[in-house]
Amino acid sequence: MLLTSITINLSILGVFKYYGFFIESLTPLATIFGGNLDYLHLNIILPVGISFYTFQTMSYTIDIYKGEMKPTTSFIDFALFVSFFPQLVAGPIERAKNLLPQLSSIKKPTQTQISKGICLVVLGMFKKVMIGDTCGRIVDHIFAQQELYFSDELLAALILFSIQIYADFSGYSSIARGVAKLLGIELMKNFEQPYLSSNITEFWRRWHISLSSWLKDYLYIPLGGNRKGKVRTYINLMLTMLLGGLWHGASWTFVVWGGLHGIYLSIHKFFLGNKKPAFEYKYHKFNDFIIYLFKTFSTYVLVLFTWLFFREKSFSDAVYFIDKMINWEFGEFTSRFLTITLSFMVVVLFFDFFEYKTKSHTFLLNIKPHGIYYGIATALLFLTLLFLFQNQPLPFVYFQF
Amino acid sequence: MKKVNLILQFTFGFILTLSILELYLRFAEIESLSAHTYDLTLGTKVVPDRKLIFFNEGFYMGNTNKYGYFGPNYPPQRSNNSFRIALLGDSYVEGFQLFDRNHFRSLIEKKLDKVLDKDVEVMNFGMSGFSLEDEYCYYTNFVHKFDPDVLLFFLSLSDLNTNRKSSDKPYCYLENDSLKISYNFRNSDSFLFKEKTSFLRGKVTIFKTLNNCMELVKEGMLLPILFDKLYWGNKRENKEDADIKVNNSSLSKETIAIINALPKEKTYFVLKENLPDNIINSLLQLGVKIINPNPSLETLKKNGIDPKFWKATNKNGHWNAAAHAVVSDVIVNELKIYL
Repeated sequence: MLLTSITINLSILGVFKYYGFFIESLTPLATIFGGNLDYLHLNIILPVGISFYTFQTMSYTIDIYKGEMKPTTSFIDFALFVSFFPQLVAGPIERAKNLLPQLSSIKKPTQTQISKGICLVVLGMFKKVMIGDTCGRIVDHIFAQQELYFSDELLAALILFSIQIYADFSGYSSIARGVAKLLGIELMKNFEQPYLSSNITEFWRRWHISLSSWLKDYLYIPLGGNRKGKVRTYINLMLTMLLGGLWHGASWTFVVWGGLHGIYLSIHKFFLGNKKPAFEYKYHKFNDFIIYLFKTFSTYVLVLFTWLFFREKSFSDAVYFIDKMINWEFGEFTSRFLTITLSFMVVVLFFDFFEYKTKSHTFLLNIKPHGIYYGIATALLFLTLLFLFQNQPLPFVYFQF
Repeated sequence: MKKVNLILQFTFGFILTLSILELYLRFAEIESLSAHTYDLTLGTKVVPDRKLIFFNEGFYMGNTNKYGYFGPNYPPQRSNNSFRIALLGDSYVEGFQLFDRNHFRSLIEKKLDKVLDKDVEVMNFGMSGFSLEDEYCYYTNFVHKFDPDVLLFFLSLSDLNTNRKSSDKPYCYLENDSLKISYNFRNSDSFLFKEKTSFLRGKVTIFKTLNNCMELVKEGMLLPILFDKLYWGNKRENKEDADIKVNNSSLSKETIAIINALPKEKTYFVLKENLPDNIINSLLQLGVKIINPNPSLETLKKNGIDPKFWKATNKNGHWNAAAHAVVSDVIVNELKIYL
């Protein structure tokens, strides 16, 4: 039963998402042997959010198989679990054991859930519209015509993309969690200040948590995890991250993105040995803080490099970008791009700092007296709505997956 | 008392947050302050020394110079060894879709500089929505102070039309067959309102954003934007297309008077689109020198590069960078012949 369910789920995903990629990848080989695979090309429209709900459905079957939960007897509950609209198209990828019991006995939202829900929606919209989209406008133009821009401008665009994807995706997750709270449902957190991570393992515990934990529980551990020797651990890590990359899209650039993360994680595992990686930044002395900053910066640079492959449409574009970095040339707007990039960084850091300090994504609710909180939230919402009205919003980055 | 406290707290939080967000908008250049301000002679003029950023079908980052136009700071007093070209036109010339280094202004300057033994200075006086009539007024009131050697007017058929009277700008009229400029706009309510409130849009980014939204509402875009794909009513027509009834059979008396009033020896018309033969003939009879980059742009299109297509936004619009390069080539080649 388990195999049937997994096969059906993966087949649906395979046909819709990877069929074209498979044929495209085989075409050069077929050409060498004088063949032509053009007739096999199908123009299939990718259903929105297919990667998300396929994984969510698979987790249901696997959890039942592992005896971690009992199957639901209500088809309606199951259908609602798969198609719960706030997180349908871009997650968080919920576990059946968390979401199904809530859906089968929906309660009225509490006063706390309503306040937190509204706060999450306001902050999520602000992140998406005022940080993600505003970075995205610059990113899209520069990446679309790299040949028109100088090295510093390309680098700024890559940094801005790292901010865009974080603000856009974490913004979406906040809105999803907020809307769910307003319906009395609790969804899992998907992000925990990932760019403040001081190593790559920590980054993956803070970035797209619902996917990374899914891959860990349903792929890495079943493959043997770290229980079958060092070499197998590295192989398992690489396999997990390569498939994680491929999950994002049917393209070799995503495979490279996943592969690079796999290499980073393997190297970190190699140096870490049996020690557990730090998950919280603890420093008592100034020196420790400087070391923490250095580690965080290094981790960010490594992650930033992988974003290049995530963002570029093709390998040749990525190579062109790298070439421009090697043969560095300054444009006439260096200081302006620097100011723009730093401004976005400061705003993102502001959010992350308060989320970390308060251990809550609804840190604004801690502001006392409450009247000030209402004023702040209204101002954030007011400006977000103005921009939403004035500019056509960009689609959520993760909607394409 | 509790309510008053709450209102005070709310107001404090609201204003403080908007003030911080204003700084964010400025430093992150999410929205630039208005590029234009209001002037009793010019109607609309470019604000000097202003950093600008625009996102439309393309992406523009640049600034106005200290003399209130686009391009390097070439002062009204010119050096003996300079050769000056003034570009006049609408948004195609203003070029808020790409950086100045990819705009035909800088490309013409670079290319001609290699050919001529003088320092070539190309000045961009483009302004959105300008027609020949507006450009003539702008030349008379402002551009001529810079004493250009060549005037390049970028025009389409609709730009030759003189029925585009605006309540915010000077316009031309004939009085006993003599061409005059009217400055009646100075008394119009709309101009006075805009002039009085321009300091808000010119100093506070959030006010400019608010103003942009109000303009969209005035244009009837409230429901189409709110309901997006669910909106079934008529969406906004292209304003220019809707407003302008182009007379393509002949030039009006006013247009002829404007052309005759231009300094012919240094005036060139660059065509943004192919004009009907009768209009071309009329222009030639009036002694206008014509530069037509459209055949070259059509060749570009045949070679797979649509001169008006923008990859980033997947939209058609103004000339893209490839088109600017072609236009600059055509202009330089033509100018080499004439000069």
